[in-house]
Amino acid sequence: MTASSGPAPTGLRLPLPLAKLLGHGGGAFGLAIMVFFVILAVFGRLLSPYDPNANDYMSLLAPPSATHWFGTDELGRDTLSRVIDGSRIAVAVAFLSVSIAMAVGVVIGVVAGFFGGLVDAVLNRSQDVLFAFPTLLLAIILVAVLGPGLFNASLAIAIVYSPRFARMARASTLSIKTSEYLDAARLAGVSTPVILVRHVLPNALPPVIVLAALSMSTAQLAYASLSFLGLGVSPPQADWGSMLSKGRDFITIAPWLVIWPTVALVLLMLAFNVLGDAIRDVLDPSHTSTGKSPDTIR
Amino acid sequence: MPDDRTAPLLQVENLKRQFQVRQRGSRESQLLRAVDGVSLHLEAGESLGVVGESGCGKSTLARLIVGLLKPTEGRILIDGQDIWTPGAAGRDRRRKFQMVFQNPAGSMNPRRTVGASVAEPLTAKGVPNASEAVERMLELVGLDPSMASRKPHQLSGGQQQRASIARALIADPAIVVHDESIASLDISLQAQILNLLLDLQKDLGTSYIFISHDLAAVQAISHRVVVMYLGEVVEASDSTTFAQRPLHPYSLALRSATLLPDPVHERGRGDTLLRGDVPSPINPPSGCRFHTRCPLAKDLCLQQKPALRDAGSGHLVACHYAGDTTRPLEMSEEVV
Amino acid sequence: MLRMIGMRLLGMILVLLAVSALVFALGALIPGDLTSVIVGQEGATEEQFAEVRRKLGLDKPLFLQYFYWLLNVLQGDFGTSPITGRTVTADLLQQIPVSLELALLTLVVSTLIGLPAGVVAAVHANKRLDVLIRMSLLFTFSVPIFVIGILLLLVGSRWAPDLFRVSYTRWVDDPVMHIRSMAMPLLTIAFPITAMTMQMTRSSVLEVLHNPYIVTARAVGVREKRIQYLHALRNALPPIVTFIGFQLGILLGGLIVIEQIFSLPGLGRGMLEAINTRDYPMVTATTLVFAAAFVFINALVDMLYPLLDPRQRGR
Repeated sequence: MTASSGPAPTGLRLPLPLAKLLGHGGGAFGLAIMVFFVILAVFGRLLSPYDPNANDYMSLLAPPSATHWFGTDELGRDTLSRVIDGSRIAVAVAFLSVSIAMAVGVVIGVVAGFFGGLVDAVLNRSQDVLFAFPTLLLAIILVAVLGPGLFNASLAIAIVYSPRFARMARASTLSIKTSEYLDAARLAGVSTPVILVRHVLPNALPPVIVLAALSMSTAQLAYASLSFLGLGVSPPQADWGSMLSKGRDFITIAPWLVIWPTVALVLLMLAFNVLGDAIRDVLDPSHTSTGKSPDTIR
Repeated sequence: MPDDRTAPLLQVENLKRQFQVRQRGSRESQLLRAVDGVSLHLEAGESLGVVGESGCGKSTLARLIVGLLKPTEGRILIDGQDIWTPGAAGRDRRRKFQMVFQNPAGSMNPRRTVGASVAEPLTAKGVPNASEAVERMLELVGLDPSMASRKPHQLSGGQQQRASIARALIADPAIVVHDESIASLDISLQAQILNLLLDLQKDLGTSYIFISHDLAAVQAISHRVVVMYLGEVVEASDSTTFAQRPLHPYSLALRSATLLPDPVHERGRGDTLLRGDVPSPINPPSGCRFHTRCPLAKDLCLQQKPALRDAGSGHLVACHYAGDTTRPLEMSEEVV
Repeated sequence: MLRMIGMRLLGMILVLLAVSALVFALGALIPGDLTSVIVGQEGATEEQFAEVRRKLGLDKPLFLQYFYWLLNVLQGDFGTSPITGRTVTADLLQQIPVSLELALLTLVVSTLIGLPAGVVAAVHANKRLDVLIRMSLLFTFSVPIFVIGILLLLVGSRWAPDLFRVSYTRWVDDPVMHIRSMAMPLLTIAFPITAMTMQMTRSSVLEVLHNPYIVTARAVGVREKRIQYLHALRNALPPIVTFIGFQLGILLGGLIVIEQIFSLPGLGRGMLEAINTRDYPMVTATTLVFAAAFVFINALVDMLYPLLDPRQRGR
């Protein structure tokens, strides 16, 4: 009984916020849409009526019909199948880029906050320089350097976003560093690496998780912009941003080519947004303002 | 000072700690002497009280003694051996100290169970099964062992304090420093916890250092009392002598600042309340640091710093004038 | 005061230096090599490569290359494009006015509409009008600029197919055509920026309206309209101005996208083209101009702030 250091918290803590999230009206809504898109992303190939890259020269730019619900594009490809296939990229980029940004940012921020000194100074100066670029501009240049593709685009977005994760992790680390429970741990003879993992990290993480949740929509948006500018995954892979870019040429004769990717894009972004707000409400009830960080990539 | 005996359990020699502080807007940093040449000693099983106003350096002293801060100068010896000896020897000596913190709620990681926090000194040592020891320790401090699985915020203030004491005592330390740890509790709880501490001291033979601004409480539970002002010791004595006849004008002022339940005494003690604030430890006053607020201050006090001298039977005081006369010092007569 | 401005200027110059170094380094990191662009991949001998490298100074260490590049840049010389054969500076001088015009017009439009709308929203806080304004805000916040652009294109192509589908025309060539060619891009980018100005003004004014001195003004009988539109707005102004810095990042990023959608020959389009054709001097030049503008205006806002906020003036 009364295990002193059992791993009970992780087993117990997870369902509680999840339950709260489902109780939160926006949270349930956002979660539902996100799960919908994740299912589309994972099982898309099974669900889509056609091969997203199969050309059908018999029905070029065909309007929506019983055979092609969302119509076809200039090569006769089925728009519905391509929108479904594009969700794979959108969801993957959002999760991948935010995960990388969070991992890198948290490590740098915690180390800088905890040890201070030179690491901290270097971090602050390099942040100043990174913040000197408009976010989209930086992402574009990084993709130009890294080359196109799913992973490289995610990496570029992650680099652009990691400073804000680092900044947040650093701020919470600074306040944890002076807490009495850290002194108590030091007095107990706990080594510095264990202190970092056991005491600093778990307490620094909640605000970072909130930031991650809120960053999902902006990351997805950033990728859509990159892809729209021709810096996303290479064709013929279906991708909402590039579909819009291409569909713009046929906007007067085939508006469905821009309408459906737009609907999908906005819907997923709305889901990420609402979900992010809900996660913040659950994890950080003291937060009252609904103002979002205005510095997002557009 | 009992220098002729074998080494006391704890000996602090001329301890100094300075901080570089930079004031807002200013470029140059200045030296803050938080602890400035403190010496004291403590025997096994004894309690020592350290009293002073906030900002007198007593918290820094506490952190220095337990080894959370490194001294700028001076030595801390346990059983005659320096706790800052490099390597494992020093580390082992530092482990003989524990601390009970000011804020019981903040001294436990909010995301871990009380049991995990209490067990930490043992798990850090690599003791394999700490849960039994935790149970025993919780019972010893008067907590139900089932509390171990709770989170700190699920405990009341008194329970949190008991848990902190359990954590401090679990690794069998030689000395536990209590940094204002009683002050944050309700009066009724204070008495309970103090009694608990005294019982535990009888059972375990641990030495205590009580750091507090509350002269009366410290006097009641300590064998010896040390009064600090601006980083320096101004008076040191065993607590019975001190209670009967404090010598330093600062000690007198501190005593009259506490309410006494005796109306006769209350009326007779006169107006010796402290005037003004504690001067900044960055630019401490010349001579005797207390002269800016001292009712006894004369020219000599501005120029020459009084050394700590024996006013009889080990009662140390740092004042040019205190305790000279045979009659007890009545400050109200001297006030200009 | 002067000392503070001096410090800010110094800080700005340091950041600009670091930015230029980063831009140069990133330019050098872009895969491929300027020489192969010039010489062409096929049939070129090693000697030809070495010859071109020497001519371009590419055989020197990177640090020296940066130094020479920076010296030239400071004299307004960004080199010659290996793709077009023109000097980069000549192209920049063509592109900058287009982007600058769009940016300035956006700021003017967004302030003229966003500021009053924000005050109205604050005064009517949580009434129907305010809710309506905020709903539209939520929409613009969750939609990327290029989606707005495409929706406008879609609507425009339905109801006024010819009015705004005009390729870019310079003012000096045909003022009317120029206005028609700029109208849609301006509308697109002004949309989210105006929404942001409005949002910022609303929350800023709302905060001021709860201040004691407003209550006092009310108590001594200052007319309500005067309070809301004069006292409150004046005191809400400083935070709104600092917000311009934030907006700028989005505005500059937006320019790149807008110029791409509407085929405007501005700086952003020039940059994307240069990236696609591996026109290195052009890539570094355009990036540097964007970043420098961003840093410069942010520093300017920083310096302007104390002038607007009397509490800061004494420092």
